[in-house]
Amino acid sequence: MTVVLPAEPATACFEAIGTTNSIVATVPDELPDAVEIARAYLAALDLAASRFRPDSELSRLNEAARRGPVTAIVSPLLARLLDTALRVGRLTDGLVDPTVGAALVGVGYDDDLAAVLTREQLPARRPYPSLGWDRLRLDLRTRVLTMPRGMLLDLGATGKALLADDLARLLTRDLSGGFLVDLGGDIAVAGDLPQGGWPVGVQGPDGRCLQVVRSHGQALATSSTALRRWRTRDGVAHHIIDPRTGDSAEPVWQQVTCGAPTAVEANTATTAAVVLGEQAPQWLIRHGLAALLLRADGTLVRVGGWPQERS
Amino acid sequence: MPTTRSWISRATWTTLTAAGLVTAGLTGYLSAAAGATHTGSPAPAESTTQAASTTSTDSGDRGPSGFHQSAPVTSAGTNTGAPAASTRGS
Repeated sequence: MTVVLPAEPATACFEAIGTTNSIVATVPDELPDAVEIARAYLAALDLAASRFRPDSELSRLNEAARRGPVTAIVSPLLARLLDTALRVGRLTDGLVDPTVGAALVGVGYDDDLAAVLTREQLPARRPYPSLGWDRLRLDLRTRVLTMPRGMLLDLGATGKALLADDLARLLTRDLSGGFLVDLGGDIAVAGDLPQGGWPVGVQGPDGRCLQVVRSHGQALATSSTALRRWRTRDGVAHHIIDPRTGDSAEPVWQQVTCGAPTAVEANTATTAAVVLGEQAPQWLIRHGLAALLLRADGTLVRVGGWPQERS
Repeated sequence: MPTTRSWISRATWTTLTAAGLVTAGLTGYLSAAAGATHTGSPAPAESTTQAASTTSTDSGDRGPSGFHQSAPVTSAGTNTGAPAASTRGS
């Protein structure tokens, strides 16, 4: 009798939206189609929501808002991204806020990161408290968006997480097997699970693997204050903004990793935890979220049922 | 082969997807950047905008303040070989 062993999952990596992405398929034959679909979706995301390409919808909205209040009809994808960002703002009482674009510019993150890191003149650091997610208005039926003057949007916290969730579901609907979608570290899975679940590494800021866990359907995300950092005339800044101060969040944690049913929720939780600093563990526990936190001094903190390392 | 798109070619399907003509499934929203942005154009007169739309496609068990709940991930131990992927800050 011939025993057909299941094939090992196959992986494809590619660059898009300024980061490294990967698709893992339990049925290797499905991988080329999956990657093609993922590339098309990420191209659409970039065109809708990139803060750094002037022809994106988001850039055009931000540019218009510099001059005055904006009323605009947005594309279906941008409406979906904005709706998600608004729900996240409500879910976190504004700790994760899509209107921190002006603050990011204020602390020097006004261009693609490679350009920010290589510019000769250090920027000043001007904290710019958020105008507030609840001043952004979206009518989902008509897709009409209104923004007050001076509000700049940034969907970095939720955009690729939402696409990871969508892609994982979509691939499973249209292709066979199971998929792991990794968009720059925001991970969503759907469909058939490999035996024992998907093994996922938690990578520290130095590239070292802190722990390998298994996802049995959970999404995972990590937010870091140790990456996407740059020098300003007033010290080192990073890209996670505390909307209350309009400045880079206090780097109490080097990074926070969280598991949740969706990548949007996992990313929301990790971003909020970074913003909350010392209050993060209690907040995570109160929300029933499992997380692995890496302190500035290198200490690991596990909360909410995050598994201990076992040999 | 996929069943729901077996009647069209892969290239056609991808093109439709990129144009926003294939829905993302569970959410019911079109999921690509179709349509033009008319920055600065006036809102329709009958439009009633609302702050932070309450429309939601959420379902399932929720925690004390809105997050869906799931079992935590499990440990994979230390002798598991290379992981399928890594979560990392970006």
